Amino acid sequence: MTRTRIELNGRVAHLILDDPGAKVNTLGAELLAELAGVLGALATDPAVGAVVIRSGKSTGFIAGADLNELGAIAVAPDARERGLAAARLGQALMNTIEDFPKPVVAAVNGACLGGGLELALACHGRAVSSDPSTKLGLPELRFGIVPGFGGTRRLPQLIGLMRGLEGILSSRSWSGRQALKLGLADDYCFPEQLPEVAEALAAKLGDAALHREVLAARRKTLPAWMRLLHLPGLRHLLAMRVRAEVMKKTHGRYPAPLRVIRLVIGHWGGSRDRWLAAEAGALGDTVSTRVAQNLIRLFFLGKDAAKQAGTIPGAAVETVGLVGTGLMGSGIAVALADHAGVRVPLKGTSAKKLGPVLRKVWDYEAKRIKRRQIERVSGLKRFQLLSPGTDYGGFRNAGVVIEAVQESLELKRRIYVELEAILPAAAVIATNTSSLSIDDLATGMAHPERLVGMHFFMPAEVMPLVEVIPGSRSSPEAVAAVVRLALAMDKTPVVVKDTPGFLVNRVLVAYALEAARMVGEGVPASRVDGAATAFGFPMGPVRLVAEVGVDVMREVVRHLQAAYGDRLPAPAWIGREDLARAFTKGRDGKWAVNGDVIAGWTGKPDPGTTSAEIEQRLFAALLDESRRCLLEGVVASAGLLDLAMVYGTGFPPDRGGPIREGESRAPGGGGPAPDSGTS
Amino acid sequence: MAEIVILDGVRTPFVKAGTAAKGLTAQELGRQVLVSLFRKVPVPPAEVDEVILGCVAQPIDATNVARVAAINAGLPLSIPAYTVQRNCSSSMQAVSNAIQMIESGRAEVVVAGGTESLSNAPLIYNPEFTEFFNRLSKAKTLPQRLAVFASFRLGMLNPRIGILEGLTDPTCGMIMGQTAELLARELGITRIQQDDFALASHRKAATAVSRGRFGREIAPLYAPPGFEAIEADNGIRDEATARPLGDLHPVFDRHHGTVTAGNSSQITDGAAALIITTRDRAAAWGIKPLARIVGDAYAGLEPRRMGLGPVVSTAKLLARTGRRMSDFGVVEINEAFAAQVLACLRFFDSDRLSSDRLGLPKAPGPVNPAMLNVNGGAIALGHPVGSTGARLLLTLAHELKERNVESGLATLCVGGGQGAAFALERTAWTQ
Repeated sequence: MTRTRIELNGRVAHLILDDPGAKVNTLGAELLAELAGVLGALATDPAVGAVVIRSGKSTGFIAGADLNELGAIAVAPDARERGLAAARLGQALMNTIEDFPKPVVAAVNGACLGGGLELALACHGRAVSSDPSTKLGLPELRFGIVPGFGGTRRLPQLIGLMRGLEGILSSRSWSGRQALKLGLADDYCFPEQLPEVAEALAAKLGDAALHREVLAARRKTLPAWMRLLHLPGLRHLLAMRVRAEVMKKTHGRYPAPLRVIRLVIGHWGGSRDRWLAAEAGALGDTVSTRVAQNLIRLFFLGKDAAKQAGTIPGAAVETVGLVGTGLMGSGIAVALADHAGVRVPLKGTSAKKLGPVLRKVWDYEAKRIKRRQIERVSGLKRFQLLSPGTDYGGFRNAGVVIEAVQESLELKRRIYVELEAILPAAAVIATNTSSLSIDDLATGMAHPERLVGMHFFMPAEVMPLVEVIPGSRSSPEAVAAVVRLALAMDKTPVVVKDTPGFLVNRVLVAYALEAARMVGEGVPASRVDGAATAFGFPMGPVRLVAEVGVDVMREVVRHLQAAYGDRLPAPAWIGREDLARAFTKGRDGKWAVNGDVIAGWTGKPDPGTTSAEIEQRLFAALLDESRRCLLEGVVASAGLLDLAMVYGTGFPPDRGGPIREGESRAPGGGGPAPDSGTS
Repeated sequence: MAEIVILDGVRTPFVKAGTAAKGLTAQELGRQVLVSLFRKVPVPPAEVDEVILGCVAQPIDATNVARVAAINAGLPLSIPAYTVQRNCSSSMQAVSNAIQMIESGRAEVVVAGGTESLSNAPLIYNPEFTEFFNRLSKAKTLPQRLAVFASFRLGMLNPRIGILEGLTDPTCGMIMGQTAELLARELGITRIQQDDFALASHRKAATAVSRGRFGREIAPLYAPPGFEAIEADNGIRDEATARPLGDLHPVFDRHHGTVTAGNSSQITDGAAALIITTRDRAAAWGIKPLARIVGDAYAGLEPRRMGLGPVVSTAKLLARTGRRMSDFGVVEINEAFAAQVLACLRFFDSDRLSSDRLGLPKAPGPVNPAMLNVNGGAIALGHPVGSTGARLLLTLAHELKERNVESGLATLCVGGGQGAAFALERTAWTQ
């Protein structure tokens, strides 16, 4: 099965990548071997004067390395050796391209990421298209690994040390136009024009040796101050500064970014061979870490989330009604208008309440426009998808209606009755309830099978997780429709059972109550929170109480204790009337915990519990509740549980999730030991 | 011939220019009113054949504001749209166009209305400054450029004020208020009479608001940056706190004039949109139309006395439709100026005046003050020029039902020396 074909146009050979077995092109071992063979033939073919490498797929150029292969390497016992070998294989091909005796031009339309960009970088020139789907970047750090096919050398060489380093560390991608401005691309045109523009570029490049001259010339066009940073003393200062920033963000738990810094700055100006050898070693080292294993695993789990819609076919929904104008409603409105791009008739109880929702979407789009992520017209169009009103006008055509009003059984039931009177027969009602049972809510509905829980997390425009909760009467079609809508909103859906707290809140409360109990025993709140952030949570459990809201937290706890009884005892200080005194909101909007106030309430001295012990207890509570949820079938698999916890609570992704972390803590469990990034 | 109806309609709150709605362009006002219209009226947008909006201060960055508003409101792109302009009666003209399209078989369902943002009426560079820019762009060398800069005079910065010039009739050189002053002088309409009329307008409007009378017409507006909901017309004076009308100085004739800002219509932003269709189509949708359109008429007269436009256009309407003034149970005469409405009332009731000064065979017929502008008029509510006509029709249509009368008249004076008049009626098959 060949993944490439050649089309000869005059003396230009178009090497077209088109894997017949896949939707996107990825660089796996077989394709690399095939390319090596094809290029070998092209090098000596007297009829060929230049090569244009492009994709035959509308999905994009090359989306990256073959992640299945990468995932297999990551979990193998000899992962380090296999990773190094894989890097060497890719690097060899890229070197072949770079050293090719005839001009090689990459014609890029669509996604050109990771190994795909590394291939394009090895080419002597790059032409990119103006299509909005065109994006170039090296996102390997997202998987806990370094770019291993020469990207750490070729990208900074082309666009400058600082921009190249920043690009890799941030995993950002550039549009076609941005690539042109950076010098990453040499030409820019409409997608249909790519083949001829690439040919013209190849003709201009003529002699392959010109490529090196072009590179040298480009380095001169970088702003002077940027070139200053290439000097030895300055660039090592830059390295220190960047390393400090990385450490601050990652607490040293991610070895890959540090390796990237060492590769780019340490080898700057050095020989290709030494640089690539170090890069291959770095890939081997990083792919064999648990971090990489966990991140790759999460990636595949996220992709699998779409399968929860089953094989039930469904038409794309064009109109999604939204009832509710609170904080959640506003966030959901943003996700609907900006990500899903559906029409959103919005219903609120008064015009006054509707204004803030519009404002939130407007400000969100304004920010995206300002950051040049989207065009002004595009931002306006997304905002204009909302139509506010105090009645259900416009709901007539809705395929799905999301109900996000306050947590009142009577109010929600009433709304469903009103909705059923006007909605088309196939329309689904998705409720954002966090504490009511779907079955209870469905009582009194003419068609209870159309009601499904769709639980967003705050802030709804940011948090990727959506818990999808079928009631006992929810139809598979309705569940599938909600899963599909979540995916359209760029969320990750996880189907969970209709039990109190569903999945995430239940586990989170168990964990938070353990934290509260420790504080009740006299452990300073700051130490508890510190242990949690050192573990990798974005914020500690005590501060989380403040961010969620004291009243909300109390209500949630009460609701879960009613369901799970004495398994989740709460310490006395949580029940205090004046609990709010424990928290103050700083001028930056962030909540701070008043440890002294709490200590005054508990009246207990510091028992001297160490951070390690705190972490142990916190994690044990979290894991225990997670395992119960698995046993009770609240969620279908450990993978989905881990996915939900990472995407819904900020559980550190490098640890892979509660179950995964539990496995690795078990004696003799979990694969290779975490790598601290040696050498 | 098909019977043509106003199916239903909405309007935005009418907001004083330079206040809460100043962040909204005419195209944005138009978009919001269209969105609100289709939220309210269960007509599928795909069934609309044309969108016609009146607009006087047409935005330069949204040429054919009707089309821009319709696209942004999410209407299918296959529905064409155009913008019309007949000064103060532009949105009535839009309805007239709708009628003509339907009568000629070119359409069956037309959205007709108006949009106006006088807050955003532009300031324009005066000709000297424009010429300065032209010469500058042609100057290539440094000495040439310096020469151009040396010709700069401070007076070049004086802008042309779009709204002032827009309200001045170039054919007679009079700003609208001066035409009202002319009528006041000729007919001896005093300052006090005008102020009393203005006060009555505000009172009637305030009463209407407190009764919730406009609730069925108004759909809220949301303006950036704050997006606080604008739910009510904000031009209505609160008698208790507003400066007494008598304190105001005349604006258009500083020496001995009688027309002030208080007894004139206000400069306002607002939009309105109606669905014009046939009786049969309404029945097919199962919706009872608001009112049937009896007829429309436009007439010209001398620009200096444009304020009497309602008289000549009503006379023409009566002649064409065979109706009489006594048939009407409710009358709307747009309150461009108190003096102008009062002048009209005299002419409506005087054969001598109508024949001597307007060449009409006779006066149209007296207007009963009890049925005139019963919910207040432009003096209290404001006059977003491109939208007023549609608003008058919407308010009139609802008022027929409110008072349980059979028919009503809406008429406007139009800058440039014209008048527009519409008659509506209720039947067994309307609301």
